[in-house]
Amino acid sequence: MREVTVSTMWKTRAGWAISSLLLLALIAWMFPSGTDSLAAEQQRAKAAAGNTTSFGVSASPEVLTQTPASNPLRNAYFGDFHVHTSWSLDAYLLGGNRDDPSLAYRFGRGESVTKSDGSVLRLRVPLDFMAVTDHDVWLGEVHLCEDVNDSAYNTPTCRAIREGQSRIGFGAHYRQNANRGRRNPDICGESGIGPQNNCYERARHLWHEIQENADAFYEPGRFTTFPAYEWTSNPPGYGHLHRNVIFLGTAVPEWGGSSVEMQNRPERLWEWLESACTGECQVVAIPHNSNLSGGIAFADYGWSPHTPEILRRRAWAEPLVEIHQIKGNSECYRGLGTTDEDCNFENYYPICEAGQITGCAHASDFVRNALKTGLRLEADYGVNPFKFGFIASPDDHQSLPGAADENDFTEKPVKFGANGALNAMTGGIGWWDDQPDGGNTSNPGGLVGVWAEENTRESIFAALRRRETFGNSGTRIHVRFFGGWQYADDLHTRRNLIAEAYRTGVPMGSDLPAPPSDSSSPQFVVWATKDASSANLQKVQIVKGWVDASGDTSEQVYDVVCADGLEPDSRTHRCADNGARVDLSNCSYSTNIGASELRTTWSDPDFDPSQRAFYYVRVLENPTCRWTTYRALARGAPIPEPSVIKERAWSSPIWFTPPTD
Amino acid sequence: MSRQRLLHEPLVHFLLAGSVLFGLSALFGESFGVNSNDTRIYVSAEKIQQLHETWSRQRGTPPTDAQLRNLVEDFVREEVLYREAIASGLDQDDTIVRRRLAQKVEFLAQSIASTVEPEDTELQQFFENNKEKYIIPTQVSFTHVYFSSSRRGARAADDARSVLATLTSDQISAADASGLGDRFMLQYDYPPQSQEQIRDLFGIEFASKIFELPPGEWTGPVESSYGVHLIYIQKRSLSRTPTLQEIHAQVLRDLNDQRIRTAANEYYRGLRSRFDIEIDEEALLNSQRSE
Repeated sequence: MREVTVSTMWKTRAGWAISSLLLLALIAWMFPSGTDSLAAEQQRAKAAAGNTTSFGVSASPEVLTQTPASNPLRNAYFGDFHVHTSWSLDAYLLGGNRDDPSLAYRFGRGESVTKSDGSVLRLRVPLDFMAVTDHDVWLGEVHLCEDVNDSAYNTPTCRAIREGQSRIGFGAHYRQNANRGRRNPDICGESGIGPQNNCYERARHLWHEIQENADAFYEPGRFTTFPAYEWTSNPPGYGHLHRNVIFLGTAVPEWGGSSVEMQNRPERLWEWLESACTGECQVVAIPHNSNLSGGIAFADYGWSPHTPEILRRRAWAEPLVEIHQIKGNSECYRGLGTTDEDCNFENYYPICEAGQITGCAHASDFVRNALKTGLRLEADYGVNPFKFGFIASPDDHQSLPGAADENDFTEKPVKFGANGALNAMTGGIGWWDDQPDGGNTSNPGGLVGVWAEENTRESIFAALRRRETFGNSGTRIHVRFFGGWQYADDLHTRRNLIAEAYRTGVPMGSDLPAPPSDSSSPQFVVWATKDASSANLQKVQIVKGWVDASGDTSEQVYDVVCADGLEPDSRTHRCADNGARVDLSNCSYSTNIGASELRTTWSDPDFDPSQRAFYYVRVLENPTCRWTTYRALARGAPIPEPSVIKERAWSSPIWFTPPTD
Repeated sequence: MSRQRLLHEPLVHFLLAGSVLFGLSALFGESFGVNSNDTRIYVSAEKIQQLHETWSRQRGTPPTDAQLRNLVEDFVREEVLYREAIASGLDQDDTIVRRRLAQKVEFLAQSIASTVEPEDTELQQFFENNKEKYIIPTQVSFTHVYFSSSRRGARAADDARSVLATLTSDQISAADASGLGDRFMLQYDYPPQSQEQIRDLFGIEFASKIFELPPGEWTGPVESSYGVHLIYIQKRSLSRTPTLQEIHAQVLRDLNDQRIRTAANEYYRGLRSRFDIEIDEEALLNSQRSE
């Protein structure tokens, strides 16, 4: 028999095997899990990540300060109600975004964050409040495709998504599945239709995580967060019918299905909200990008049927509209129901050709026209479904809320993050097939302002519900707007004007009370102040719309107070140009022209007590460089038109309804 | 050396990888990787338990009997196809497979880093090394009286000076003082604010002036983007570094972020040092020039 010694054992194959296994046993001891070495370790890591590390990071204020007291005359708080993270498929796939909602919250509250691409970013001015609004469509899918233990992980669709290879496939999948109320069976399992599939189940689970995240980052008095998502309906053949659904955070209902299960029908969303959000639950659904709706957002015939029941639910569910964001402005469009030259502002699409539906602008895509249509519908149905207060937000897709500065991109190349602007700046391909003008028609978007007693969920949500909100195009203009019948002509000059304006009138977002018998015309008090970091104010305008007895609607824009001692022309209601200019060689602007604040008490000279009407304020800054100009200067490239813009803010309207006898 | 510390040792990674390869090649020799003889697939109790747990964790509910059966069948299907793919050599020279395998190794390194909680000494060390990042800047809390330059024009500063005289002589409390000026759109009382925060609210000049004012008395006028102000500094707290206890959660998160990020790099550097890497520098230069 051959004697096997230790020294000779190393020379045999079996010896190698035995010694290797001994080594493995040693390593197995060193790894705490013991059994399956690296694979088991990975499982543990994922489990740990699921519990603590990647999410549920507890909120920790960087600087401890005392909580300010509640102010009965209300403070302005600024926020962002529209941001996407890696939980949104378009952000994940098209934007390569791998940063989850926790990074968005941390960035929003002012922390310096390191994105997964290595860039270190910090918001110039921290937000007071925000909501993360990831897309409902594909919420489950994007998680299943990232889950190595799910059977969807290795499907061709998921592989393509992870590899970032299906930019075109994304559009195709969207059109073939989500837009037609279907799930992708490749990812969601065999039962790809209806609520009983893996994608729906995962979304239902994630809805709880969304709420937990919002709760974890809420610091009453300092930083307010709301559970939210984007209801992302794209009816085939039309454009966007998107809404951000924002809950107070108390008694939030179970997941009610996405726009896929609701077959792109907003009336199903309203019906679900009405039936599910009861008791202490509160919710608002905020339509956005009506400028991309293909004409159906505010059409008076309606994508959703106009029955009294549906109109009533709509009016209840949707007290607000997003008037401005990265993918263009939705206030108004010169040539579509208005001749207002100041509507030439961040228009995204060209006006539709005859017969064209998508990729172009319709009159019924715009908020000012919707307000007018609403007056007519109210006369017909007794309910106004388009009684909107205003907000604005960026709709960033890189988990970076609140970054709406025009010149940010020089420091943060991926800041815009949503669509074309990102690609225009990084030289990449366009995100969407229909991105006009290489992304130049995108813009940094704006912010939402609220007038609230304190920075808490309850106080801010009450402001949303009473529409005491305003939107801006990115600079922090403050605007207050009140209406009443007994305001003194010089109320705006008085020190107690806010207390008086509340006491004897109503704030933005409200209905004027019934006129007293001795009143001939309502008065409005408006007060606007500039953003300390931006240009001076040029003028304040009041936009009026009304409907006459025959159902025809009209509008009139009044310059009500202008800087530099200018007075509006009595015929055109416009002030002359104040001469403020921008030096396009370095983007410096006039600082000795314009005003730091503008205020007036204004009475409607054309008031007709028999006509329904609305009034809202638009505040215009002196011109400053558009983001494309900053970019061109940084690159030494030619400056595209328009080279300058007038940053602005919009107050929510005040409505007048003739009293019934 | 603790178990956890061992996990971070490149030598351990090396031994592990080496022993697996040696062990397999020793047992199966040349047939390693094309093991057409091994036709047994055993789904163990541990595997079933793992499938069960994964499903439950991700969906919030345990799988039904039918669902669990499907999970097992999916696993078997994957294993059968996987073995066939290996037997057919599909893992060789396929760009996507290569990339995925490389990513997976990186992912494992990162996962291990994020599993092991850092020890207190490591956290303390990280905090010491990054202290400047956590410095709380100098802050002031203040009350102010506002004089609108839009309303008063050039008079604003003079009006402010005469009110200042009243404030100083009549001992008017900070809370009542704001009534002596104009209504201000923003707030009258500000909790502690950094210079940067004040700059964004009131403009650059105001932000630099206000940090030079003495606390506990009315001073001014100070010009802002909106007009002029009389200022009462309630408190000025000097810049300081917080203790680790105050910001423990934030430091821990930052350390974990860094560990995850560096784990993959360190692991890669360790592996890379074992290779003799040669790059055709000439071709590299030429291809740049021809572009």
